[in-house]
Amino acid sequence: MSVFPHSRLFLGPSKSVLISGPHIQVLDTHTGNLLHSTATLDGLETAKLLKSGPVRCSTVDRGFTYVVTSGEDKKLKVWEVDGLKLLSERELPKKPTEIRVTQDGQTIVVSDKFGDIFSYPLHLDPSLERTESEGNTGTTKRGTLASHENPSNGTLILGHTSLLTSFVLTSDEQFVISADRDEHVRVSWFPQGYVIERYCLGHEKFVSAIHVPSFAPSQLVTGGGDPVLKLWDWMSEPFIVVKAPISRYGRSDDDDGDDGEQEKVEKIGRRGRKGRGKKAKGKGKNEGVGEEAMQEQEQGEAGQSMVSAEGEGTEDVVMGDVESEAQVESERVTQVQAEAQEAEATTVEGALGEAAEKDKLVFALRRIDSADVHGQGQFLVFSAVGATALFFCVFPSSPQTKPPVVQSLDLKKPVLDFTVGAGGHIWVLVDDERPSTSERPTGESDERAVRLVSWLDGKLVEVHGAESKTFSLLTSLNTTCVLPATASDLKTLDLYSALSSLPKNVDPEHDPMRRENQNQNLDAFEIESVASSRAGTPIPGGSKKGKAKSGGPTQRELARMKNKKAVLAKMQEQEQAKMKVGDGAGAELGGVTDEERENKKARAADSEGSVQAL
Amino acid sequence: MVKRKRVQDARQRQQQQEQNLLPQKRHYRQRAHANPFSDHALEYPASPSAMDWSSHYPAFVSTGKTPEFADVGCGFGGLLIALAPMFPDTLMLGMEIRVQVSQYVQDRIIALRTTSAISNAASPEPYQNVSIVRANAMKFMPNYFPKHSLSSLFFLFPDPHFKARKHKARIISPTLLAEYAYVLRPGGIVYTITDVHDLHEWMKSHLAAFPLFEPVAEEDLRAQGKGPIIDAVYSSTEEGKKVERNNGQKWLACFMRIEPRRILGRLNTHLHQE
Repeated sequence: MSVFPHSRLFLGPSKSVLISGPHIQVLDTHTGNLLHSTATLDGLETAKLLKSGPVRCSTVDRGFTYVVTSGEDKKLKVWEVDGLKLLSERELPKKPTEIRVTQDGQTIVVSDKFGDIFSYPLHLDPSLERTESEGNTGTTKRGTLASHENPSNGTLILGHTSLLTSFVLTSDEQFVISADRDEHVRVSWFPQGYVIERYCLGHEKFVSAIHVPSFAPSQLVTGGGDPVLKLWDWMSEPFIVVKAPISRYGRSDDDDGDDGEQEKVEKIGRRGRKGRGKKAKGKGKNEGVGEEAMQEQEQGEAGQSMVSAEGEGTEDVVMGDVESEAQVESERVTQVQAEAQEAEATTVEGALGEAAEKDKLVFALRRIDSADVHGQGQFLVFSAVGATALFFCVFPSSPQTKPPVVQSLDLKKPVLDFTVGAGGHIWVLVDDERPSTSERPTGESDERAVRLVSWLDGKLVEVHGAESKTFSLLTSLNTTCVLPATASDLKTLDLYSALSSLPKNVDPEHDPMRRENQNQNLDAFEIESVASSRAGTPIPGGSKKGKAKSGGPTQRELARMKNKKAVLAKMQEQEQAKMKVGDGAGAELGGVTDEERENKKARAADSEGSVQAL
Repeated sequence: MVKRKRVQDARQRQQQQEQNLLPQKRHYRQRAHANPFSDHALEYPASPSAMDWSSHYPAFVSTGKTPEFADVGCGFGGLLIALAPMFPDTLMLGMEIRVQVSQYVQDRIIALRTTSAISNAASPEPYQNVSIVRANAMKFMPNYFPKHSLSSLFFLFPDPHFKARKHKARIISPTLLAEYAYVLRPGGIVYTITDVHDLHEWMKSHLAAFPLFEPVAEEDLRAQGKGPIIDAVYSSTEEGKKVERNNGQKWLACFMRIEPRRILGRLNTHLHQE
């Protein structure tokens, strides 16, 4: 029987809120009793709920009085935790990516896929809504000058020109830190989001998770597609304090584990290319192919669980997986800046970097959180989309020369999310629906969707057996809260879409700007060699614009080349003239200008190469 | 008589030669529109400190200067070429998203640097202070310029994006203004000009509504000595010349970047246009 995996858990002092698929459930934190559930609503309500699709974003206010959710339908729903009564439903302009509630519980702040952050009052005044909605409906009217219209009168806080993946409000709520798919991390005033305080730039891939630890409110931890975590001091001049490279790790056996994986990758890669050709058929087809690939993997190595997600239009198939490497530490090389300078810190990702090239690994951090464990220290904990492990490392309290070692705890099933609870316990939600590749007796311990993890001597260990039974909430989460789901339900869940949607798939061959020039563009080097070989020969009569694919360079390219050669010739002429003239001061000047000429020549050649190659 | 003709011929030949060195636009034709939201295969620095300006302004390597003027969507470079000799000690950068057009400007700058080179070491060589990057200014402005590093920002004849659903692609929007205010220093000026009245109203109202910009009149700018800049803004670009040829009208709107005031407490609604 298929069930909905739990996607989010909010732990409160007395009540806890659980999100599973499209449903919300409220439990008593201490006894684990199921207090309320949307699954027990009457038929009409349930139908409406299910129409909204799985809950994509959710949050609770600080007092655990309200839970705010949003599904596939761009509707922002505010529920009362007590009784799960739906208080209001508002339309959002675009699909949300993150929802937060201010500490006073009065305002909801929502970021969306277009890149905007809007704020809405939590309590909807129905009379206000009616009168204002007349003037500002979802459609644009001629004459309205707002390009960021909002059907629910949200207030525009700020906007990125890219998918806004995540944001946080600082503890004093004076600043909002937002991250996007174009590697930007931006610190802006709140609520005056239009004043940008600074950027924390340095990521090379999309940023998908940001976190400000409660015990270090001036620090910011960011992560995303890069296999490193970056730690910033966001309040003063932005500088990277530490980068903790994320190690690949996993099973200690298999020498042929790596080879086996390679094989699989190749197989998947081939399928991936096939999938690309059928892009027109839509995601459904791709997902189907993805599942086939999955089944192939199952036949493979024991002890490796993988998730493969196939993206639309991507040549590479993307996997989130986890593998062990014994020599991780020795391969890791990093630098740390102790002073407030935005200096370049180079990170050699070692095994992961190489492997990422070969295996086309896509890394996407899901969530970063921190834990201050009494007697054991301060830690950072994070999870990655599709990875079966929970990662952790010591939180560097002061800039150190060596970044902390990232360790992990493998839970055998992909980690969907985790919540740091009181006393340092971490509640980990895993995707039980993913078939495990290993042959394992299906015991109780493997069928649980929620795992409890605790700290022991500075390491994360899973809490098993008798001890876990004392947590009646845990038992309840794994038994009474489990809701049935059909196969199509699970398909629409699409829990790993970030792996394909977040990375920027920019292939120079498919650059939209170049596509129109494809007919007329040639590789720069080709032009150089062609031009040099054809120097002195007349332009072939047959070649016209647009016929460059076969035959030589186009007329346009040849004309440009001719012009460039003329300029270069002139430069050389001047150089020679200078050299003749110069001695003494003149020679010095000549020397300087010679350098410049060299630079210009080099630049002319380089720039041609670089711009053409774009 | 004969001598004068020979001299004239020689000068004509010299000019002809220089003309021959300048790139011809017809070899760089490209479609006018480019979607700024797409992921083009662009190269851009990870951060302003990672940007190597030495390849763009080799003559200024030792000064450690960074650009102060930025022409967003510079097209064929008319404005920059006009401004470069006026401000020889100021670095200026053009940003253009189209491949062919940015290549044209690059070739043009190289040609100008070569043909205008003089042997007098006293003054800086002409056109050494101007350069271009192929870039998506809407996305990556903060990657190139540190905070408050620009003194002038130019938006000349931007793409009007007439349709309502395309308004969000306009270069001036409530969200992008925050980024422009970030790279522009307080006291810095935004120059906008267009021949599309609707777009002029759009830009003017958005900039006026934005708390970090304040309108400044053309007369005031001219009084401050910025007259030559404004003249160049009106007539030095290809687009500007085309508007003149077609007897169109041009609307200028300039704004100054001011300091923000921290407002504590309740959320404000001034960003939301009704």
